[in-house]
This record gives sequence, structure tokens and C-alpha cells, in this order.
Amino acid sequence: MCLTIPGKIIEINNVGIATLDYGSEKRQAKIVEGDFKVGDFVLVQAKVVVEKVPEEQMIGWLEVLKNIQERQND
Amino acid sequence: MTEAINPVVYFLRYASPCSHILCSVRSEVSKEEFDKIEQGAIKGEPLDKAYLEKVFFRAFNRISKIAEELGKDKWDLEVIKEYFTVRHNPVLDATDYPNSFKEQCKVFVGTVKELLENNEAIVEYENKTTKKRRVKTLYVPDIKPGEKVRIHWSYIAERV
Repeated sequence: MCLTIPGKIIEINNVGIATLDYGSEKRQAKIVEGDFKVGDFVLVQAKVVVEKVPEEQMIGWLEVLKNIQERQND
Repeated sequence: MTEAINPVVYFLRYASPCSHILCSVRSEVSKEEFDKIEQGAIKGEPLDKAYLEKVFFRAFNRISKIAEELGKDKWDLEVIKEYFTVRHNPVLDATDYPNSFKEQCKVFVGTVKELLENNEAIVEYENKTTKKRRVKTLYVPDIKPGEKVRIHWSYIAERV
């Protein structure tokens, strides 16, 4: 449905693989094209960084994540 | 026994939590729109189909393909159910999104263990291990402990 949560680029290696922080977990995605840098908030599709988004979206996701963690008991 | 339900209202019950994400994270949906979608699901009041197809275009890309495959209209209840209860989870499993996100976004069948105040309940379900989640009972206000339900994000979407 939504498949649109943002992550923060915390590292880009020398072959264009970005490490993304989603607040709870980290994932890697490839930068194929575009001017992305460490600190950017981005969306990923099919393990490719596709779009830069405003920081507000990351803040919104972290608020959702906090609510998730409060409700979930593993 | 499952209840008879308008397909648009059925869609709203599952889409409402997603509209919260589209509102609070993506800003694609305003707070007023989120409230309207949630209220439609609570009160059983269908919203405009064209509007919903526009807001939830990602879902309808897939729903349209299922409709074509089943030879039915995309707003046929069987098509909407097929999307949320059968096809939705594998789509998420195929992504590399954080597990905490996938856990919430996926639809699970569980059992109501306890009713809480403020229209909430604890539902127990299986996803590799036994888990519990505090969910809203707004769409099924007369739900009782022991009943089987489907949960999506922090809502009981329907009885099973």
C-alpha cells in the first residue's frame, strides 16, 4: 500500500552502495544515478535509491516507529 | 461467520492505516483526509471510488491486475479481499524494507486475547514466533475475546 518510508543515508562506499538508517534497522541500496550524499533522506525501490525527500518525512516515520514499538510485544 | 460488507468500506478498513502513513510520513494525504477515510471505515460510509484510486494508486496498480486476472471489476469484493488477504504480504516479503515496517504492514490472522479501554484490544498472532499487538477495535466494536480477526497495522480490519 504505502511502501514509501524514508531512510537516512549514513554511508556511501566507493562503488555507490549507500547504507540507510531507517531508525530501527539499517539497509543497503545502490545509487544508480542522481546527486545523493551522506545525510540525505531518501526513498528506495527495488534496492535502488530513487528520490530525495524532506527531513520532515523521516521525522514522521520515526514517530510512527515509536508508536509501533509501543504497541508491539514480541 | 464473516459479515456482509460494502467493498469500498472493506477497502477503507485496510487502507485507513496506510493513509496514516501517507499523511504523517509522506504528506500525500492531509489530516482531514485521513480522518475522512477512518470515519468512512468506522461508520461504514463508502467514499468516492475515483478519489480512493487516486490516493491509493500504488495499491490499485496491483488491484487492477488482480481484477483482470480474475475477470472481475476492481471494486468487486472478491478482488479487494484477494489483494489484502492473499497478495499483499508476499509483495512486502519481496521488499528490503525494515522488518519492523513489514511486520506492521503485513496482514495477520490472530485471536483477540483481551479487550482494553478506549476501543483497543490485545491480539495474539503468529509470525515465526507468537506475538501480541495492541490494536484498535473501531471497525469491529462488538468484538469479543476468543474471536479470530485479521489485523493490519494497529487496527482489527475484520473478523475471520
